[in-house]
Amino acid sequence: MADSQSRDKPTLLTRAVKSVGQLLGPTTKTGRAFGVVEKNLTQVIDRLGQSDTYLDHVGRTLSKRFQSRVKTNTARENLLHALRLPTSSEVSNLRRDVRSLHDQMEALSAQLEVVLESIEKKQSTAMPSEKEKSS
Amino acid sequence: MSFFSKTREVSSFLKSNAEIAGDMIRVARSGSISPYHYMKPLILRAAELGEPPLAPTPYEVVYTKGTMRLLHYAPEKRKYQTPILFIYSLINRWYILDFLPGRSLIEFMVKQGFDVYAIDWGTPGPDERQVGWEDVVNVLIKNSVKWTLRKSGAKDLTIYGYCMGGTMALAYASLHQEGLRNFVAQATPVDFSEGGVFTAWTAPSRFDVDALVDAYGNVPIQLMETGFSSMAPVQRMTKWLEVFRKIEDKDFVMTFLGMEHWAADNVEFPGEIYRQYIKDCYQSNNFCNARMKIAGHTVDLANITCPLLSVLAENDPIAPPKSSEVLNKIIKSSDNEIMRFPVGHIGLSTSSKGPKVIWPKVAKWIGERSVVI
Repeated sequence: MADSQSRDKPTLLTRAVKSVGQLLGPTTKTGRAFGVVEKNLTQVIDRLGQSDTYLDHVGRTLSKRFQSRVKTNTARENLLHALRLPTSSEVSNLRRDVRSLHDQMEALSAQLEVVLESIEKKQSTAMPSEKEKSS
Repeated sequence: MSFFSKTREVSSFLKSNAEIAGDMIRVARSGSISPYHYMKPLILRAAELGEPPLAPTPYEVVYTKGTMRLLHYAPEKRKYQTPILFIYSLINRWYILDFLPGRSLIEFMVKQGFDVYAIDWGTPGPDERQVGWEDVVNVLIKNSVKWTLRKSGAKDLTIYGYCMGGTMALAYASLHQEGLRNFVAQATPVDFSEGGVFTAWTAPSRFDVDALVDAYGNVPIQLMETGFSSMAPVQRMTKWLEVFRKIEDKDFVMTFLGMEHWAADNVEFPGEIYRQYIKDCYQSNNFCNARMKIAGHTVDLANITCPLLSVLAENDPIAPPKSSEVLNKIIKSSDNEIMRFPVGHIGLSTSSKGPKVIWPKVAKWIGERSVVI
C-alpha cells in the first residue's frame, strides 16, 4: 500500500520541474511578468531579424568568415602541392570517381537481380509444363 | 512521511541532479547548440519516460544508392494498386512522416490500404559534396520511381512531396511524366519570391552561397541549426516551460520530445545541391518561371499534367501559403485542388489534427484517383 502510494506520487524532481514551470507560467504574478518580458524581447528580435542593416551586417561578417576559410584551404592545398602530397580537392575528386564506380557496380548488381528474377519466373512457369509433357 | 523516506527522496533527487549535470556537460563538450540535447536528460527523468518511439512503422529497404535508401511499408491488406512514394526534404530526416504511433502519416496511409514507399536521404558526408540536382532528380528519384513501380507491380504511382522534397519532386515530374498518376505537394515552396524570411536572409547582396560551399563543401550542421534557431530564438527556449508545467502529462511530453528530437537531428546539406537551390530558387526565383535548368533541361512546371493536390499549412513561415498556391495555376491539369489547414509547417505531419482532420481528406483525394484492387 505504502509502495503504491509512493509510486503514484510524483518524484521530488518532477515537482521541482513543475514548480519552475508554474512560477514562470501565465497563472502566477512572476509568470505574467516573465510573459511581458518574453513578448517584448520577441518583438525586438523580430524587428532585428527583419532589419536590412542587421541582415547586411550579418551577411558581410559571414562572407568574410567563409572567404577567409577558402583562403586558408587554398593555402593548405598549395603547401600540400609543394610537398607533392594529394590535396583535399584531389582526394575529393578521387572519392567521386570511386563513388561513381561503386554506383555503376550497384546499378549492375540491381539489373542482374532483375534479370535473375525474370529467369527464375520463366523457369518456374516452364517446369510444370515440362512435367506435364513427361507424364 | 517518515524521516527515512524523506531522506531517500532527497538523496534520489540529488543523485538525479548529478546525473543530469553530467549528461549536460557531455552535451556541452560535443559542441551542440540545440536546447533539446541539454533539456532531454532533465525532462526524461522528471517525466519518468524513455526515448520517444519514433519511426514506428515496420519497413524493408528496397533500394540503396550512396547514403540514400528507398523504404517500403507494406499494408496488411492492400486496397489500392497505385502505390504512394513519399519524397522528403534534404533538411532533417524523413521520419517526421512516420512520427509516433497513432501520429504517423505513413502509418495512416498504410492502414488505409496503400502500398507506401519513402525516400530516406540518409546522412550526407564528404561523398555527397559533388552530388547535384541532376543526380537527385535524374538518378535517385528516377530510380526510386522505377523501383516503386517494379516492387509494387503497378503501372503508375502517386508522388507525395513534402517541403523541399516537394520542390525536387516537382522538378522530377516536370522532366519525367511517365509512370506518374497523381501528385501531392505538401508545404512545398514554389514561388520563392514569397519565401518569407528565407528569401530575405538569402538575398544575393548579403548571402554569398559560393563562399559558403567553397569553404565547407557541405553546409555544416551548426550552420543549419543556427539558421533555424534564428527564426524564433526566444520561443525556442521558452517553449520548454510549457513542458515543465505539463510534466505529468506523458502523452504531451512524449510528443514534444519526439518533435524536438527530430528538429535537433540535423544533417549536413549537400553543397552543390544547396548552391543551385539558393541561386536558382531563392536568389533568382527561376523555379516557378521555367528558367531553372537541370542537366541542360529546363524545369517547366507547366509540363505537369497529372492530378495535383496542394496541401498548405496556414501558419507556415518556411513554405508560406503564398509561395505554394501558385503551383495550381502553373500546372496543366484541370484536376487540381488546394487544401488548407490551420497548422504550422510541421503540424501537417505531426499535429493531433493529422489523423482526425488532415490525413483522412488527403487519403480520400488520393484514393479516388488510384486504381482499386
